[in-house]
Amino acid sequence: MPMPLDSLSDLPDETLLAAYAGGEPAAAAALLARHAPRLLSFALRMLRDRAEAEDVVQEAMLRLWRQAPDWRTGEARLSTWLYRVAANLCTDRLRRRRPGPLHAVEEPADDRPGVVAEMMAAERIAALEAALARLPERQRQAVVLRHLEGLANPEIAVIMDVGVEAVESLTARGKRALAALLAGRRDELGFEHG
Amino acid sequence: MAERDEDELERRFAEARTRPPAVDAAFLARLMADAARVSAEAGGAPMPRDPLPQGRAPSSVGVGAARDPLPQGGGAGSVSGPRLPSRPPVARRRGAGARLWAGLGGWPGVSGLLAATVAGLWIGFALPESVRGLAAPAGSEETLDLLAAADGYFEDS
Repeated sequence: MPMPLDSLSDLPDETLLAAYAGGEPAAAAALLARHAPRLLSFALRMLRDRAEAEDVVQEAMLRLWRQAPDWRTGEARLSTWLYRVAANLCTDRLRRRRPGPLHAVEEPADDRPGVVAEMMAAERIAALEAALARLPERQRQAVVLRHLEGLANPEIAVIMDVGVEAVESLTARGKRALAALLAGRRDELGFEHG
Repeated sequence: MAERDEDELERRFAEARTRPPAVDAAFLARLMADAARVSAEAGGAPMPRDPLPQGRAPSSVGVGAARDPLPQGGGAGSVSGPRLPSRPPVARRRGAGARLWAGLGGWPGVSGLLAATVAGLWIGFALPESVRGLAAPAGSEETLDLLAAADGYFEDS
């Protein structure tokens, strides 16, 4: 059962950011609790390197803190802005990284021995993330934002600075490529039973 | 794409969504430290509480800002542009939030609180499947002896 959120955590993003800028840094804690985990998830799925992903999130949040005094209400959703900064930072890192070997798949954070089904699930997620890493960067970004982060196409279009149709095309092509990449491992990973 | 592939991919996505990466408490503490540092650098002067008027020149622009639909400096290579005239510093406001902040022990106290809160939220929202294997089967009863070494002190002589 989710923990009850205190009143601070219920406030809108922009209110919290204004409160932080106004000298109430407790608001930063609420913003971090709300956004840092999702940004980390996104960056990790883009970069597949925890240290780099944490650096990206740290830099994105740092820019938010610096932007706080000048943040203009109503011009951009804070979450969209953060995703966009993180996406651009990931792109920069991926471009600097080329050409180079794919980074190793990160092991699941919890390596406690579990039931077989649990291990199979971890294997399936690792296989999905490995397949994602083989997609062209823009397709990967669109698929991750749409299907793993759960964002709507119009918001992804803003983050990626393209039209909604382009987002739809990128996700469709990305999913086709993913299906092809994962097809060969269907039996091995128990996809039929997942 | 075949319907079967589509369904299968959706199941994989759904599975991955339920198991987001763990968030490290030390990492959260670093993020909190950044927020504290930037706040301190700002000198503690209250920032504008009212939204800036629409159409006002951006105070921070990104590289290639002309095509940037986000007017808040969201580009990866964004740099700080000319700052808006700063408002005269005034005494830091001591509102209810500030008193709460002080009561929680300031940054060090809240960093720990945040780490625990986020970890709790994360576990509560995202990881029930991963702890299922730890739950005792219904009807069974197991005990955990936390002070096994001290048993001898409590035995009847």
